Amino acid sequence: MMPYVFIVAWLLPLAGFVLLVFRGRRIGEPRSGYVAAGLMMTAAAISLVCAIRWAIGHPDSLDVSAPWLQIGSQAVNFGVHIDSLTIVMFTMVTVVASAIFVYSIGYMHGDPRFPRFFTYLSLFAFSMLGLVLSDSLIGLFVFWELVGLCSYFLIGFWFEKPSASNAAKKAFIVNRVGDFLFLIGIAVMLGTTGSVTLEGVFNQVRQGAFAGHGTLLTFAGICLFFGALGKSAQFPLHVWLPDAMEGPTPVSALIHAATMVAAGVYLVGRVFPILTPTALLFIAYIGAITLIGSALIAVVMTDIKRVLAYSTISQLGYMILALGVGGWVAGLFHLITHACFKALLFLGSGSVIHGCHGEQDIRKMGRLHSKMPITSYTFLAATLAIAGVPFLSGFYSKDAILASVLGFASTHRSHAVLFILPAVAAALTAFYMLRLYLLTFRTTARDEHVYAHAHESPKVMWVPLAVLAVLSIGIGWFGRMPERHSLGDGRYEYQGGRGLVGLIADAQPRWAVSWQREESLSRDEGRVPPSDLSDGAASTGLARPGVHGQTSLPVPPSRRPQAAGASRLPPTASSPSHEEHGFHTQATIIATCAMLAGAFLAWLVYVRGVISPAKAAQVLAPLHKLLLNKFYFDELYRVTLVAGVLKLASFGKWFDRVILDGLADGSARWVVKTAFFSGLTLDNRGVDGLVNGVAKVALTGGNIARSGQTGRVRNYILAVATAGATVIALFVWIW
Amino acid sequence: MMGVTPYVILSAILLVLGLAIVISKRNAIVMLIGVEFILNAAALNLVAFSRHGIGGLSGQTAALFVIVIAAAEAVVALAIFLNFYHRIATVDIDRGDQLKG
Repeated sequence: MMPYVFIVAWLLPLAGFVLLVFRGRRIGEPRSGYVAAGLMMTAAAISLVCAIRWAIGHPDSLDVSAPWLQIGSQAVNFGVHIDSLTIVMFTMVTVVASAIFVYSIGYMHGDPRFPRFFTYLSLFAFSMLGLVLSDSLIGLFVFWELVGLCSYFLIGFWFEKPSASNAAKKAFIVNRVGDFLFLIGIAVMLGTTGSVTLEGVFNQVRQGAFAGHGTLLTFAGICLFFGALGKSAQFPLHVWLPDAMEGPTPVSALIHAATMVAAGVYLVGRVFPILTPTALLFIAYIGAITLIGSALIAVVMTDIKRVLAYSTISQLGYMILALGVGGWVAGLFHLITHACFKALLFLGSGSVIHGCHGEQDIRKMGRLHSKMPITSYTFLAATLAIAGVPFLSGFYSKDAILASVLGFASTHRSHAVLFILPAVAAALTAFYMLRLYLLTFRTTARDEHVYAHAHESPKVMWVPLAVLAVLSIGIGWFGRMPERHSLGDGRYEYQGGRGLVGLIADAQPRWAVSWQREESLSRDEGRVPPSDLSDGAASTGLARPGVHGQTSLPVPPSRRPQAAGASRLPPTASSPSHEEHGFHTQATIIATCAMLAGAFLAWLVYVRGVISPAKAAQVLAPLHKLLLNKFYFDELYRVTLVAGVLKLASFGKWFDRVILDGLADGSARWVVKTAFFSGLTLDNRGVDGLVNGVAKVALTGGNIARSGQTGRVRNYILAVATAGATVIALFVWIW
Repeated sequence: MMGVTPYVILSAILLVLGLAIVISKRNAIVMLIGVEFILNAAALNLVAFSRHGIGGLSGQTAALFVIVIAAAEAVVALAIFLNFYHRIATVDIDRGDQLKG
């Protein structure tokens, strides 16, 4: 029953899309927004009810599939896989999307393409939900491309602006790089395991489809990760996301903060079981590089949306890092909390931009708190949440990530940088977010004109802000941990705890390549009987990077730190509980200290004015310049890739013009020559010559014969006489 | 006894003369005279062979026919020539070459 309810909820935005695409113009400005938002809220209500029912009774997972394609002998089913992660993601997407749809009704007011905006938003919601529901790599890929397409449409929604249409193209093309490798990864999986459903792939890998080909599995995993890398705007494919801010702000909130960019993290979470330790390490380092780099850039950005964009990249880096070190639950938990507060931040920035009549430069804002208090308070809530202030949602999820990383780094000392970077970035996060908040809403009004005309947004915009603010503050409190009961003999049992984290933890893979003994992968005997699993997970270091992370989620107030994610993990001898506890406490302390340091610095700079930002920029001029230019990535790509592509294109042009056209022209010229030869020489001279020759012979003969026909009787008589005489003479002489 | 030979020779001379006239003269009347020469050469032959050789009177009969035909022919020819003259205003036979091939 439940899968079908979800499918209905999934199809509601599609219904909205179909309705608006055909009747959008007719339905008109406010009503098309009501239609789309109404359908979205219905879907959200359905999924909320289902999520609660799911959390109470706990089915394992539900699958529905129907035949879809036949590729050669390979049947591809279109399937829906619902487990608790699907439920959580689905609910998150529908709830956040509902808030943003409602908000858009106000934000897009008066836009000439108002109905079209909701058409695209509905299509996007449908695609995103499809992505979450898909049970196969192919299904994932289809919806993956659909959300990318919607992203393209919506970034370029104001396509009259060249910057917007360029940003849309950039986003699409950069994503193409990732998607291309994603497709290769799918192909490797299909080719090796003969299956495209996630379940089938896992089973095949588990039964040793890659036995003796550990490198290929690593390669496939990294290829799949590259899809996520493009979509989640991770280094080095992060360049598109800041430019994507050219789209309308609700789009930035929905697609480029809360849902679509999180799809990459979701994908990594889904394919986690087949990622080898090497692939995971690669993923972790990508996440670490991304989160620190973009946090640094966010410090110097002055466009309100660009600060948030770099902040988004940084937070996605956290999630990717968490997954890379095996903190599966931590990463996906952060995905959910981040979706709430980042959507809120973007909507808040949209409210500011709306209230300031299109001004996006925070240097021209200031003191807006008095003008738009609701926006200010909600924005502050989200700022504190993302900074990791204790007991707000970001605190739990970020500490969970830091605990995972700390657990990983403590067992792998050579990778200690994986912990140092996110810890530093945590301080930076607090700093740049407070900087953004203070410069926008507090301090002095730096531009009287902007300040004088600023106004609070209408109710249709601030109500979604308030809803999201409640979620940003409180969603972490739903993360009730499962209780762990000792069963004696060193084994544990987990009970209860069907909260948000518990739900995510339920969906955690029960088996993963990276938990196996490394040699079991490289050995030809890749088959691991299920009974081996518990031993395998415990035996090697890198083989179980996730254990600490998954078992050390921070807990809401009044809860004992407990292992949340490990409910399906085999308990291991080498990770005793006091150690987890230790990591968690340490991580919390470190994260909080980092946050306080960043906040203190922001307070010093922007409230007390102890340190002048301009002076700091002067002192650190080279660094400042480097950051302002975003590490010159755009320039680097322009010089290398874009110029390379252009060179390749001009070579292609040359090849086409000279070689291919030369071949074509040459053969054409040859044909013309042949035609001239056959036409002029063969036909005119040969064939026509023959025909004309016959005629000429006849003519000449006729003329000759004609010359005797003088018409003069005397000549005829002479001829007759001569002939007669000749005949007679012949008679005489012959006889 | 003088044989048939002198007649034949005379006849041949007449024939050649007539032919020569017909071929060389442009005047239609003179041509008609040439034609008479030829006819008479033939008639002379007929009579000569009838007198000295085979055939009895049939040769002389034929000669009579020849004379009659010559007269008829002269009539037809003169009628043609009159027409010719009427049309072209001359009896120069070479002017009547419109039917040349």
